[in-house]
Amino acid sequence: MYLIFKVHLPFTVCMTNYLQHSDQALITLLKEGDEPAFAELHNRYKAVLFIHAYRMLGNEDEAKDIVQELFTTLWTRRNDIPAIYSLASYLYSAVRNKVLDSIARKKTEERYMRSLALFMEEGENITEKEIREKELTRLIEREISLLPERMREIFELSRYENRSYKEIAEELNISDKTVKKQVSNALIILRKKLDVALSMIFF
Amino acid sequence: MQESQARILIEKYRKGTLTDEERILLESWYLKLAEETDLPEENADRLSAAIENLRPPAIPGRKTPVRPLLKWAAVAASVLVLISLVTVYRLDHSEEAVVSSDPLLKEDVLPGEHRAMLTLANGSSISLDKVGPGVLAKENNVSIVKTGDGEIACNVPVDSEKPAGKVSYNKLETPKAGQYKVILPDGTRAWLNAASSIRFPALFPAGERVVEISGEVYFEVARHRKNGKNIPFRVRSGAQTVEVLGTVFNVNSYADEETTKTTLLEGSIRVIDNVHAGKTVVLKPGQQTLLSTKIQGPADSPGLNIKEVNTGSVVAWKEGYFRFDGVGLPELMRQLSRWYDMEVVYETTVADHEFVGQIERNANLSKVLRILELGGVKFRIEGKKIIVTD
Repeated sequence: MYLIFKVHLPFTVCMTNYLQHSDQALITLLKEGDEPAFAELHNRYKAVLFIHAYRMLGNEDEAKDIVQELFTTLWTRRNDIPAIYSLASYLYSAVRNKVLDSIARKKTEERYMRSLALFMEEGENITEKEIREKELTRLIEREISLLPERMREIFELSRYENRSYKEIAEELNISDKTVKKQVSNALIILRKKLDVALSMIFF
Repeated sequence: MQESQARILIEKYRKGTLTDEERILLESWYLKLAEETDLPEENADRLSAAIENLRPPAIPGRKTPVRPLLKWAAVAASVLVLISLVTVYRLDHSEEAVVSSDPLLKEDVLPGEHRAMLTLANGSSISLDKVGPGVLAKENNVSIVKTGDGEIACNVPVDSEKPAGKVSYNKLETPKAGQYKVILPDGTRAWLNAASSIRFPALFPAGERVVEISGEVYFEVARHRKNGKNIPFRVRSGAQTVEVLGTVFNVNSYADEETTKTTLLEGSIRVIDNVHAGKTVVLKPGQQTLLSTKIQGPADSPGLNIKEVNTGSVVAWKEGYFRFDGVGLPELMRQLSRWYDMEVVYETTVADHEFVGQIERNANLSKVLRILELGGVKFRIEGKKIIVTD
């Protein structure tokens, strides 16, 4: 069981807002050169990207470098991020490409080449770009279930926290998992209570 | 050979000359590979620490790579997420209001401040919070100066002779609810947390720098060379010695904690287990050694353990925060006890809580306790006691 308190910093107040921003809103801020938005995006995606790269390559340092490079690119090329595209898809394609770069650099490594050769012989191509993207998203977001328990809880909650109320509501309608639904409901109700509670404490 | 074709395909990817069809093939294969690959066997704690330690890259074109406050962004974000966890817990367990009405306010306790006692080699003591800035003492050529609120410095004239013969020692001690900083004669800076001490020579003898500490001290060691050789700086505390050249680290060696924790932030240090004479461990930045404080002799000592930690949490105290990273209630209460100079009494068995988050150290005790109460622990203040109730 975790138990928590809150930072008393004007800064946190602004982080609170960032936390409630959707990815889309953060991207808009990012394009204006907003650093806290960048930090929030990093915080939001670092775990899942790291675990994916680590799982694929089996090397922690390489995985760390990949995450670092991805975010460096995200910042330096923030104005090139396609406007309508989902940020998750963008980052997931980017991490896939980085992993492929890494595999390409060590193409002598048997296991990758054997697997690729086998696939070329027997595998089925997924021709629709959209389906490939969905599949990639599914596979990468599955990394969450591989996270150590404590991190997973945080991540799963953050997935809900990271969306606006409207988005959460939408998520609820399509969610088939009652448990998640209850958690989300609880979050919405209690966040209101807590906001009141915390403002009593601090202000 | 199929494998050679695989290599050709990868090579084309590397060169960026894949056809659309080949790209589809490669991306499809990637999905299959991702489906089949397992996460390497892993120590969950270590992996968590690795992820937690991932920081946003320094943004190019700025003077300082990361604004100090930006470091808190990640923490603040996760803290807020965790607040939600608490609330879920509360919903499950009770319908009552999250914040109890507040009996804590009646007997509030102020946080610690800059307080310390300096004992000079001649035996005289100075209560540092009772004197103004200025020269406090002169020993040989060295003057000890209160440079500001919460800081003293030992000023050594550049050409001063290194002492021959007997070395005399000064001692700086913080009480509970006190904190202080000292600049040692060699330029090394040391921050003392509450209920801590450092014993240091009025002037370091040539070729040797040794101090003794208790409690928790954060060091920024100045590099010194003599005849082309680095002069090591040694920190003795209880059952261990830390040996450094020039670096930043934190030693937490409170006698009432189960382990002495030594954490390296920059550079390199060697931690020596004095019980297992000669047993040493060299730390890299981001690593921490743990050494049991409850040992009597080599037989019952497991020796030094190393783990990866979030160094930001370890030295948050120096920045003015309590920061907890999966800390149990007893350890947390010991920290409060030292900073607010309170005794902690348990009227209930301690539940298996784990605390994650941070709070300012300049908050009144009632504020801290009220926040902790959000998680279901209850407190009462009675005089100099914090009582943990049901």
